[in-house]
Amino acid sequence: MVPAQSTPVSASFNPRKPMIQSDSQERNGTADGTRILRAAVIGAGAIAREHMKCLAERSDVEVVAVCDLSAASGQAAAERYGVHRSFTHHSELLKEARPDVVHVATPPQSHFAIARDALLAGCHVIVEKPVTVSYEDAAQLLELARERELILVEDQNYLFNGSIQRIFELLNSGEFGEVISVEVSICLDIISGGRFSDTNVPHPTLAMPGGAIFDFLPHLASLAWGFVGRHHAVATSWEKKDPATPLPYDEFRALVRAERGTASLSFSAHTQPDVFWVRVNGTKMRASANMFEPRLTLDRVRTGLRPLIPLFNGLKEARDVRRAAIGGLWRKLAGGPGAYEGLWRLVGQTYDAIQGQAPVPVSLAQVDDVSRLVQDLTATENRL
Amino acid sequence: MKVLVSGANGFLGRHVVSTLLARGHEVRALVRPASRTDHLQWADKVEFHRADLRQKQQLPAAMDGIDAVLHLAAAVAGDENQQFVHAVVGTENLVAAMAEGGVRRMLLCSSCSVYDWSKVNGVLSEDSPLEESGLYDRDGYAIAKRWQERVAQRFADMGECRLTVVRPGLIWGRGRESVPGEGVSCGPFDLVFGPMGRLRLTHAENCASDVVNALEADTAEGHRYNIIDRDSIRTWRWVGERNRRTQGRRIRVPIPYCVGIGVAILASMTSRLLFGPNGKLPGLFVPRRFQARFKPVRYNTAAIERASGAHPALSFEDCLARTFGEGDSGADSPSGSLSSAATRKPLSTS
Repeated sequence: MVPAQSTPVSASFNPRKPMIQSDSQERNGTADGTRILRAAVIGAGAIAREHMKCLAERSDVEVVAVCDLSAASGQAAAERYGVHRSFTHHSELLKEARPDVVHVATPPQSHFAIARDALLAGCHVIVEKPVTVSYEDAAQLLELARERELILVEDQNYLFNGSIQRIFELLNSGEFGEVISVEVSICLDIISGGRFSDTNVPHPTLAMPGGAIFDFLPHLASLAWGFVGRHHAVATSWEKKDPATPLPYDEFRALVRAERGTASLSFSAHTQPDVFWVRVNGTKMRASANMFEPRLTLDRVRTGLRPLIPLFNGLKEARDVRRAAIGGLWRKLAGGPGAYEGLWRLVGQTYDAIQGQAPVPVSLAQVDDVSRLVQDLTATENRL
Repeated sequence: MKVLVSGANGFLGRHVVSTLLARGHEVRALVRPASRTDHLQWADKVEFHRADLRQKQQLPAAMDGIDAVLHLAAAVAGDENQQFVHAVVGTENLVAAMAEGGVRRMLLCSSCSVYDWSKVNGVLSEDSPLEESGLYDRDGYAIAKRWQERVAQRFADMGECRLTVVRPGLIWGRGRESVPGEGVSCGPFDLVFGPMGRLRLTHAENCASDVVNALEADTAEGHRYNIIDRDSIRTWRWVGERNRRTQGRRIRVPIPYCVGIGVAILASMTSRLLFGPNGKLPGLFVPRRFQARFKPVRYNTAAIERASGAHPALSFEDCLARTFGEGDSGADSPSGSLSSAATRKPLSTS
């Protein structure tokens, strides 16, 4: 959600220029009058498949091409999702498939070049996080999108998860009061194995500032931004607790002072069990969302007999946890987006915006603020 | 000949290298940069090339002076994406390096999981239908192996190499004493699906011998071979023999195949009713996956027998003894494999 920060599409957005839209495509449309948008997905890995699954659910989108450096990976993704064409180079795709919207789901180091070329080709761009490795590159892309009046959206998916959206609803209705602080904490064992600890082929993020933890900073930063706004100051602690891991750092803490409150951000590769908590502390309410499960518990100021308040709080929390447990199992069995519900919602709203039916879900200013915060979280001058 | 073996230090690869050495071939073992090799008993008899198949720039140097590539490497663990990248992108990179290095002979070790088991009725042979339309309902391993074959076949169709594809069944041996088709463990119980069905077992030493036979035989070029041991072993017996030797008192529970697949079909229909086509179920309740693991069929092994020219030297009893018995006949022992391999020279070799 974050509607206060979104740019109303009707005010700032012009439908894309028809430079890559053929006449025959212009005539195509759905029954409700919206036109069919031509999408292309660059990258055919796990996250790209989530984009394609989500696009398959929309009646106003045709995925016209997929691209991956590995021809077989691209062809497999195309076969699986009924896409007619696959390419091994994004520039050929842009030239020949002429998409309206490009999804960039490749490793972060390649985001800048692909997103820039897509914008130059007149395409709207949805790019996986981080939008670019450096803030300077992000700023260039944002400027290009502004100049060309195109949408550039970074996948800040956790802001669009159901639990977080519910907290925004409570904030907007005034029930939550004002936000004083937010704590975002990711505990994930990435040192005992898996892609980040692969000693045969070092993960691409290991070459980035902060190493593998950099991959998680956009999540921490976007959630902080969503609740306390643009940051003013940052202090960080980066540690390498396990000398044997190939990761340059495995523990990270940060304190952020922002325009509407403070944010405490952390990543731990050692703390177990794995969890992703977002705790929002307000003047009338406290919310705790477990992002790995669809669990949201709310503590609110209660009136009535004080001795009974702990009982009511306990019963309410038990009900929330029970509902989340059943909901989690249901969500798994139902297939669909699962843990990527935020991505599906974000992509859906972006297409609604392109069709002129909704505001852009992530404004350029928001991408700019989050990228700047990520840069400051990695900056050596901010380290304790 | 001088053979480049990818996955040389893997479970099957260790036996294949032993067999190649016993047959007098030279071996260049392709192992990943961080792999341990000091425990391999043939470590001082081969040349190592350290490279990861996912990184193409490391591979052309491995092709220098090589007559044939024996491609065994694939990931059996990890998520679907990781398995695809290891197996399929790795094969793309390997064949590109072969083209660059002018290596024209390749043997790909695939898997019986590439068949469309929903259409295999009665007997599985090399002519059985391959998985096509339902491929993405299968697990990540089956998807990766099917695509690995497609990549290698396209390379061969372009005239770049003479390809042989072998499709081993369930490989077992010391260090891998259970196989996916045997059933499911649940507390003290072993649920044995289709207990009277025959398991597509192949002992690692027998499999290694058949792989090398297929590499050596001129007549094998352009062909596919299922590699399954000729002894026909029922699932019920396999689980009993294994448990007796390893796990003490466990209780075998026979579940007829028709009951198991019936439950899977019912679960699948319920999921579709509740959630539509996107519904997700554990693999055991996905009919195509259940069929691929447990469908009771017989196996026609005539093709690999013809290519090998001889029956496997090791009977099921021998294999049990070598797997569970005392002594040094395990996966890291070259001596055991060498002796068995030496008795199984093919009749038709290059």
